[in-house]
Amino acid sequence: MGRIFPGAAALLLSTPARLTLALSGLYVVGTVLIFFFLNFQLHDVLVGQIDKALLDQKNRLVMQYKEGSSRALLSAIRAELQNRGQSDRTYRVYDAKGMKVLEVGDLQLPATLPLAKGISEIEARVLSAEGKVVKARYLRFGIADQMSVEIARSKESTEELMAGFRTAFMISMALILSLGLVGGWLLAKRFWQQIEDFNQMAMKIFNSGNLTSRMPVKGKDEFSVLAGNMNAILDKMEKLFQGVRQVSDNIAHDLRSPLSRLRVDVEVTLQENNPQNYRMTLDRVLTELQNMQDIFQSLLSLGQAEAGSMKIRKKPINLSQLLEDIVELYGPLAEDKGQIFEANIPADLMMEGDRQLLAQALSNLLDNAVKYVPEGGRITLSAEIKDDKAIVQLDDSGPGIPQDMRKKVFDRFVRVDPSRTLPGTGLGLSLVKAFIELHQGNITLSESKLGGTRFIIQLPLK
Amino acid sequence: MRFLIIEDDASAADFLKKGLGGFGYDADVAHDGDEGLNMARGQDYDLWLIDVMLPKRDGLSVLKSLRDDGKHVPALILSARGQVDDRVEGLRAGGDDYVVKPYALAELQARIEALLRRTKSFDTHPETEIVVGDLHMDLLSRQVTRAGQEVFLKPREFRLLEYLMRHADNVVTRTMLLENVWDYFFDPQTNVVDVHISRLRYKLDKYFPYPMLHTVRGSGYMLRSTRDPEAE
Repeated sequence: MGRIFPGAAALLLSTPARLTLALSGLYVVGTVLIFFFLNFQLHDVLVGQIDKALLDQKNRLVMQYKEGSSRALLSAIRAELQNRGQSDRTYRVYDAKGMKVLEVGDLQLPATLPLAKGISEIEARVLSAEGKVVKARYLRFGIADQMSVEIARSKESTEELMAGFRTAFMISMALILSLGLVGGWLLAKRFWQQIEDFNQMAMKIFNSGNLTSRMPVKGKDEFSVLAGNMNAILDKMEKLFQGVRQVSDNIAHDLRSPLSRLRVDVEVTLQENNPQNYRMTLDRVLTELQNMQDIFQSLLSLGQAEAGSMKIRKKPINLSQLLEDIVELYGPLAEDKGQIFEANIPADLMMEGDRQLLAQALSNLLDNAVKYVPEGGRITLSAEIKDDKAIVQLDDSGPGIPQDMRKKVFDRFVRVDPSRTLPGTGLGLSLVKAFIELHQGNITLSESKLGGTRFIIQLPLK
Repeated sequence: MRFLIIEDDASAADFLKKGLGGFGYDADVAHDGDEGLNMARGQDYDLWLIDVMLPKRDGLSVLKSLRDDGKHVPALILSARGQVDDRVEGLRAGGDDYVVKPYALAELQARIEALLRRTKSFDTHPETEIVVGDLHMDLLSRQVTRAGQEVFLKPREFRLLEYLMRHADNVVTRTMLLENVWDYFFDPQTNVVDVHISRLRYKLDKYFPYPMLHTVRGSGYMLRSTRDPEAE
């Protein structure tokens, strides 16, 4: 727990930074590949152009010779040089005996060159540039077994073009790479900063245990969504912890009172020192213990249900059957108390739920109804399925629950009967609500047409 | 009768041993899972009482190992965990009944007697009739007669009486009835069961010379096979 980030070294280790570096590396490899490919292609195209010019020249010269004679050939060469300049080329012409008839141009070729078919690459000196060595394309051909001609053309301009291309490529690559690195760094820093903010806030909450702090939410990006979700968790936790505090206060109150009663009872009995009273006292102690045990059990169930650690075993159940069973269980009790208990339950309402939890919830509601409805009063239980929901409604003609209490009755230890003379833990309705909510359902209460309370339970069918 | 108590809380085990002694049962105590496993393997007991949360080896694993050994001694699981799931897990591990702490001693006694009785009647043939005193229950025609006179029961009353008859002369608690007759694993705050019992009692005893269905104060109910002048 608790990773503390010590600055830039940690930033370098952060995920976005590593991502940026990896991407940059990939980019460099890709660019080098592209560079070699383009370099090769460009060189090929440019040399191809020179070679094509050489072959054109050859064809023209052969034509000149055939139309005229060796004179025409020589004058054509001279005219060519005059028109195009001679700095980058050289012509050598030999007659049938192999005597050099003409050598013009600035490229100084080696005296003899190896015979090669087609165009080859040679090295030559440039006379006009103090004998600088350049690469040149070279072609030798014969004309009608009479003459033989050598043409050479310097590749210098091609080389210059290539050099220019390479420079431009390198500069732009360096620019893009540094832009990428800088951008990546900034991005990494931004991401890291936001995560660092989260980390610090998380550590702060962890260390202080103060659940009122919240994650910073800026803008609408995924970080804000994350922060929002984390804040929602904190909200929920804060609420739960407040609940826990509330409960411990209530437990302190509702378990302390019986404990102190017990203590006094036992102490007084011991003081009186009359063994004949022991049995009676022990009986009272046992009753009080049972009461405390009930509160304890309810609190435990409630805590488990609300904290979500209670497992709910949803299975297909026949709600009608479940309700009929409960009616059957409570019917005789209501009858004995002179109440009229009616049920209006259609057959075979099916849903998915936990039979035990639902039965316990309904049993708690009926405990209350039977307890509070006076003799001659009425209790009705009805059910229906409407819009993918099972709706269970319990009406009674009891004293009802005042408006200002209706929300509170589901809270722990809240009892409508202020004198607390009737038995009860004050947890029954809290349990009902918790069990219904475990089913993703809800329970509300309002005034009943019978004059008392109406509970409406809505449960999703699945 | 000799029982084995596997319980790590020494004073709880001691009280339990004393309590069982009061009902006429002797008991040995093991204080952790391993010791319990060894003792249960080394000696023949009539009943095991096993706590779930134990040091060294938890109670359910002890029970599973013993069942894997092929031992069929009835086992009662005592646990501080009372959710339906915990109960299911306990029974699946080979437990025959499950009692949540804190329990009333009377509840424990009633369940122990029910268990011992159940194992006794294990090897009998599937019955078609149960007889308790002058009470006859025909399980096929679902007819009940007392001293030859038909007693008309609703379906639930029939199940209630069947359970009481199967445990005749033993105490049956409200919780046992809720679990076995209604299949509810929670205790309603009001004594709904009492009302059902009194209805059944009315049909069963009202027109006959002596009552069979008795309330045992502080524990539950008992269907007696013989006349008990003291309880009348």
